[in-house]
Amino acid sequence: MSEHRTVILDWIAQGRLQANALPTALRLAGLIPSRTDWLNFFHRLTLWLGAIFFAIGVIFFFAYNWQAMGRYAKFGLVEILIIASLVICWRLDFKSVATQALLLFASLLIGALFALVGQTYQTGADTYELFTVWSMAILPWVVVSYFAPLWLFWLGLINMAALLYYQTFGGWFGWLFNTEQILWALFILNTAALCIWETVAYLGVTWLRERWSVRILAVASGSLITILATWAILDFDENDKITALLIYPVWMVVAYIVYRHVTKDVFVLAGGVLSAIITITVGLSKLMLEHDDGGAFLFIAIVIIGLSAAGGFWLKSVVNEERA
Amino acid sequence: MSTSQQLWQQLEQQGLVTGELPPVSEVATPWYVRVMLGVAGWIGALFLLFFVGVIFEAVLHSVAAALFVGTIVCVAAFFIFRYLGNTDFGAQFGLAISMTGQGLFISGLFEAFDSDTVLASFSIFVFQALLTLVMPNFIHRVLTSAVAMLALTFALMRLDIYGFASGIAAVGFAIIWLNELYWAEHGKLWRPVGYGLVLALLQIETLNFFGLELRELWLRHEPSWLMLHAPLIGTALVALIWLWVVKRLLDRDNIQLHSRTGMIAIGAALLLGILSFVAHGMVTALLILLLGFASGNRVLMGLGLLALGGFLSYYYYQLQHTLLFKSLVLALSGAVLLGIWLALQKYFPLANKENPHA
Repeated sequence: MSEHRTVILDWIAQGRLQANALPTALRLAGLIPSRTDWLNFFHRLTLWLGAIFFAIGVIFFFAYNWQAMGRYAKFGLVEILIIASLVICWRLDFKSVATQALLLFASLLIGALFALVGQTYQTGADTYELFTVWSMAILPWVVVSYFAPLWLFWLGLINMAALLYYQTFGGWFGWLFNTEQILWALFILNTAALCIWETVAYLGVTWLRERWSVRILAVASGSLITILATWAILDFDENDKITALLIYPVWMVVAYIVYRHVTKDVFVLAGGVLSAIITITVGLSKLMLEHDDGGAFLFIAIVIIGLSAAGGFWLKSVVNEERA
Repeated sequence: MSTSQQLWQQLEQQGLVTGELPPVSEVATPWYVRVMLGVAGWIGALFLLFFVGVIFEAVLHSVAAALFVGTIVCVAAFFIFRYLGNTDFGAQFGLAISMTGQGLFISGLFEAFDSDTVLASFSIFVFQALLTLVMPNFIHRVLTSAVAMLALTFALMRLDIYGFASGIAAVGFAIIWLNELYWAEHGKLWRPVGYGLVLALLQIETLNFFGLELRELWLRHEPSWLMLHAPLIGTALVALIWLWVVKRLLDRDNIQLHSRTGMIAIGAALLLGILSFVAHGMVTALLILLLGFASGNRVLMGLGLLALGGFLSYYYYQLQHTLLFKSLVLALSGAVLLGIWLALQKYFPLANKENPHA
């Protein structure tokens, strides 16, 4: 639907399609949502917003730690909600949208339940443990959900756990010196997830082929290695940072091969082009801008403009080839 | 055979088009390629500005020189777009050159007027709006129209008129996307402005939230009534526009207001509008999402969902209400939405229950 939209607008802009033929073209392309499309949209919108608002409302409620309500009433409330949603799931058709919404709802509430345990019994657990236990507990539901966004949510919890782990054990000073270590940990985590996701999707799991979720992982992995690589360039004198400069080209080459030739995805390729431009800019600046040299600024600007124009040209040709 | 080729052939059979399927041109470039080009163009412009700053240091310190050189550079950029804009290098070069010119011109304006004044903000608004009209480039128009709207917002703030900017941005955005297809011939101008306005709208709404902290920074007198109620006014205006859009979309499908469908639609829209007075920003996000869906625009839909998530997380930190109150608001609206969903299941069931990712 979305592709037709730009294509028709493109034809009109090129003068190949007269503007007065527009209504016919739109009808043929199915561009104006039909009644069924609208109905579908509202079913989805009310279900998802309803489930998420309700679950967040419950989480806020426990975050408030209302003293007037006894601990058993609190545990009872959250447990009844979780059990009720699971029972409804049981009775519904698996793989239906309602089941997916209920599983997301229950997964959010599990977090509230663990937070409540920590709050009530003052277990002294660190926050990273909350996120670890939370992600472990919901894993079975995530597995049976066949639902990419729930996997993404799960990965988000793991990322939080990793981040908080390093924050806790790094201490106050460690936090400053440990940033690089944290970036590496998150990079390894998200890159591994990306590789597994793409492999499984490639092997034929169709519900994982929806691109936007995996693009988020690609952006996470790519941005982290770009940050690490540019940092390494800026602190080149310190030998320990050389790893990033070795990994970065490997990442770029593998991404190019995969997203150009195996699973064509221009979104990731565009991200790669931007990453290359940023890294090259940082590299040239480090090399040339030692002294206040105006010419160097001009040279780097022209390099950036040239590279981005060439990158844009290449990306458009890949898109064209996709559509031809 | 690709789908656009099928569509072309169908149109050809109806005698609406002739000849070969045209190749993809600038208009159909995916948004992420444009974002890449925009960001890279901006970095390039930054280096060009440094270059001007180092070589012609004097230019930056003289008002007249900065305004003059800035104008000349922008005119040069116009001619680059005009004559080389069809080439990738030309478009990208023009973008960086123009942004450099704008940087010089705006720095000149800031030198000429105190950067804090109505006049400075208003001049930037006029300058950017003019560039939006004149410069024939998509990315350029997105950026300048967004900056123009933000400059207008700041000008209004300096005039002590708070809260109305959201309404102006939202109404412009809604008019453009509601009529997108009928303005298709002039889409080269209006479509980028539509994107620029939505980016500005989100920025203004975010500013409204952080208004309390910002006010501390530059307030020299007691906050006025308008200033204190800016989020409320903004929300009221956007909510009105939201209702108007719903009405227009019902008209488009020939649904009467007093029919069952019409009443349910307006009732639900009212409910969500009211919710937005408690949890600010909701209606803005929903407006973007709805218009995105109505015009089959996935980019707008994605932006609307992203905004919804952002405003929802921000809600946690709002200080006006206790967490208990917020939790009740959210749980209650969630329950009402789920109730509507159940009613939809019963009275308007989906014909096809498979296909969860349609």
